[in-house]
Amino acid sequence: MCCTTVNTVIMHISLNHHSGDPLYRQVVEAIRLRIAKGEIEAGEQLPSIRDLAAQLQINSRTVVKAYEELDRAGLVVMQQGRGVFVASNRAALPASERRKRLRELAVKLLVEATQVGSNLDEVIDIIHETAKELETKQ
Amino acid sequence: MTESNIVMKTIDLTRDFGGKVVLEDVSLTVGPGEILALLGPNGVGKSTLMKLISGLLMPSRGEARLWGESCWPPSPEMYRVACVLDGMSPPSGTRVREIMSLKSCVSHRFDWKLATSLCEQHQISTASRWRALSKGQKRWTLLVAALASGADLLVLDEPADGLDVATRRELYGLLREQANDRGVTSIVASHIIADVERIADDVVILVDGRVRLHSPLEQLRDEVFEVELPLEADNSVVTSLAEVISSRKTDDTLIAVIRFRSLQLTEQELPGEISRRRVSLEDLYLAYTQPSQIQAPEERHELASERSR
Repeated sequence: MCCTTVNTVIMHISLNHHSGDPLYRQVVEAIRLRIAKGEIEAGEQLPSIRDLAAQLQINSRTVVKAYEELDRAGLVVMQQGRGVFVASNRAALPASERRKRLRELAVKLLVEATQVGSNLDEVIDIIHETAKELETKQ
Repeated sequence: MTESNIVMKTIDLTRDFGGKVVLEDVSLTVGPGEILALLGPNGVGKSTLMKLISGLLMPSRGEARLWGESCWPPSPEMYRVACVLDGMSPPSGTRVREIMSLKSCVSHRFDWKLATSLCEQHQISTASRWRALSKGQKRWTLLVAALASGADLLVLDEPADGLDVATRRELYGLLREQANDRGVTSIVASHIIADVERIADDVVILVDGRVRLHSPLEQLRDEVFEVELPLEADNSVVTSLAEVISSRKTDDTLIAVIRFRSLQLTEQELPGEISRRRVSLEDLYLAYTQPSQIQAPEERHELASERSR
């Protein structure tokens, strides 16, 4: 076994094969959520491509694609021959790109809110509440 | 895929029976470690295609190749293929052990340990005779012989026939494991679309003996949507961004299943777009096998001959 004590995270991800969502995106979202919640910490090692593919019973190329996407987003670092680690200093996106992404999500959120008969105040309340929940978990 | 990296390739593969064309101009490629699923209504030529690939049938025109060697007449490479095809049935007195022995004679890589354990897990004694097995056990026995053979290509026609859900899942897990660990390629025909959605890397939809669609499944998941558009939507803009696979009219909107021409284009909004949602393979399959209302004739032709690579 290896002498350095890097924790390899055991990843429980449930995939929905029938939703039409690409599997690699489902893997990306599941890992992003875990990092956001603080369930996986900076420096921790993610399962190897082979292990995660075996566990999820998916093509290893799907896992590669997911890890590459997370790498591009600056959330993980892929180190040749060593493995995939959660990034410690997450590269901040340029302000314009950051605002663009958040705006897209805001549109989705507000459309949903209108459809279920909610309003802006309630949405803002919920954002505050959720932020607190995430903080306490971290 | 480079030429040397292709496991199976068909070029304009055509087969007729007594003048009736069952399979026409089928050109497909599959690489190592890929699971290719063939979908299509019954009698569409799936089984014929599988037999042609397995070297059990002579093509009327065109060619099927495995590792660069023609499948007809069967090349010496055929020992690397294991198939479970429709109607395969050993003599009723044959013992399970003998079925496995026969396979091990053909393949020096036959894994007896795997074969025995997979039989035992399903309460099949290797001493049992074929006639004493249930329908599911018969199917499983043939699958085990193929899985344990050490083949580089598995050709499976409706492999889930007669298997319960748990066994089907087990089978798909084994196919994936062999694909990831040993680069084993599988070509699977199935009418159970939900199963295909679970295992396939590439999907082929056959309609009237022709390839209607050949695409990586993940790419379809990325690019296909069901969209709702106003009736007066500008078709030319829509078709410049996406292929319209099927469409139907409601009172005041048009509901279409479309495939964007690239992942980047999915970021664009269609003219007057009301909503969009991702679709399951089942919906997509229906869209491909149903006629469309706003498709231009040349578009239809393009779809029919579409090949993703």
